Amino acid sequence: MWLTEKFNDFKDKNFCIWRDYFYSYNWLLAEINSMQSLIDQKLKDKFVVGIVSDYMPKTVALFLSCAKNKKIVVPISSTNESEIKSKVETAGVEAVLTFDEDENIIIKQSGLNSSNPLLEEFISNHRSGLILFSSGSTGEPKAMVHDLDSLMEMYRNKKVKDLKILIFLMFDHIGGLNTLFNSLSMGTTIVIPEYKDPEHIAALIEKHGVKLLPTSPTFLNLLLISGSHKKYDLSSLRIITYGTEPMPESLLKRLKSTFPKVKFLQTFGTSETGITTTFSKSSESLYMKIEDPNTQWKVVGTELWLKGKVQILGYLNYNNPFTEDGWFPTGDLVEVTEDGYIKIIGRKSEIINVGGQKVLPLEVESVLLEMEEIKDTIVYGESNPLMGEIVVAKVVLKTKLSLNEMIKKIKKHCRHKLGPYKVPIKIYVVDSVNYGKGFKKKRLIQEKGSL
Amino acid sequence: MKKEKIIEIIKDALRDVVEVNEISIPTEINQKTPLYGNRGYLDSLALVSLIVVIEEKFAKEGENITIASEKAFSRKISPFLSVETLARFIEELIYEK
Repeated sequence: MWLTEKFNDFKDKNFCIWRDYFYSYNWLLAEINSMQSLIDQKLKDKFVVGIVSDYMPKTVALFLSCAKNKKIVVPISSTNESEIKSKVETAGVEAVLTFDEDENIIIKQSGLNSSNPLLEEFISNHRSGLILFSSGSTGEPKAMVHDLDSLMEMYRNKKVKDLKILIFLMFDHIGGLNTLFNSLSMGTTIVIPEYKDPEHIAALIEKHGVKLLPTSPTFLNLLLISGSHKKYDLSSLRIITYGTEPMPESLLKRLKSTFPKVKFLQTFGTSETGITTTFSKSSESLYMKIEDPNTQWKVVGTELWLKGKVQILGYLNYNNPFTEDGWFPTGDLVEVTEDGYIKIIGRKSEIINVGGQKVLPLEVESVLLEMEEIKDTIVYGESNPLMGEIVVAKVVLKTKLSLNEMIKKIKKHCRHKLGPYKVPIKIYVVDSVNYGKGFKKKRLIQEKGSL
Repeated sequence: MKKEKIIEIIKDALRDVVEVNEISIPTEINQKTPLYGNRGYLDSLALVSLIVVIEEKFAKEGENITIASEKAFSRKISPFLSVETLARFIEELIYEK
């Protein structure tokens, strides 16, 4: 495999820092080689293999070993038994690989046989595959089938760099894999956190001099609220990339004034089409340009459509999402400028329909976050017999003023900044808002027509 | 719950909605104040807000009611005409429970 051959050049460079230990590229290579006999003996006739594990150095080695041996890899980072079981069944995982406390590999046969025609093609063509699950907020998660060989091929010609990157997303997420493949191909060092608490992340950045932090707007907001950026020295940071969800304008402003020397770049991609190369207009701007030789884009209505060289072959448990000529409607709604910059304004599925008028949660959230008193917020639609849907906001407050007065103040603020139908009609004061694993806001999405 | 109390809650909620939405009502709010339709002061969004605020205020008093429903819409005389008609409707809702 071309990637592991690169490791020969990186030798003693650290590929990873985990729990204060340093792991070199030599170590990684040796680990991959030592796993070979196990794979030869125990997984000879197993093709679909699940890796159920936390992010740790050995997980990376196991992942790469499986890829090298042309397996179809199903990374699962969940610790919830029923979620694991359902993913194993949906993907038709034949062998489940985990680590015991001493980091020895444990193999369990599932008794399942892969019988999906989509997967059989990989086996007969002798290619490695990857199955990722969407974190869909409604319905069963979609099982997406990637050609892992072609996906990794995208990272082949990266320039070698000296850099420490904090790995924020897990290895069962396209964004997490993107960071991993980039880093391995450039011979840089990933710093793996044990959990995603802002304080822990800030401490790691200080301790190891992390330069690049790929993360999400939700996490960045939590970081500012926690004040951890004042407690730790984060001056090593050069670039913060944000993605997985749209960035509220007011948050980007706060971030830029807190970290004036840091470059803020938006990353963009979908699990279906991979990560696309984009350029942000500037650190202060939410406008970006898609400039990727492997991805074509167009806007249909206000929805962004992508067509990539490496898109998934399909879902195992849903119909093919592509148009006949191979376009993928992303569900992301965008604004386009004359000079070809695009700005993401929300998700199609999150549109709130107030008596026929469309409201995007992000716009309302951004206006709410302008208020000093509001720490965090999440906006969604609630069905209403008069209007179809109404705008509802959950807010986390900094102060506990008289609640009634506060709510009136919030509504008045929105009223001055937004069209009347966009003003939240219900405001719930809560202690915290819901985040998914990837620190992405989980908005409640109304089942359409369920009135 | 006494009707006077119901009227007080509605008037209180209406004051909140009027304040937030900057609606001008020339006279002081009373039972006859028209709400929605027939020279009412509220548009449909303000009406929805009013209903939500009223429901919240009743919930605080321990009365969980749902004002906007098929029952309210199918009335010959709309409960949303004035403070008075709305109070009568809510009184019924509470009584029926």
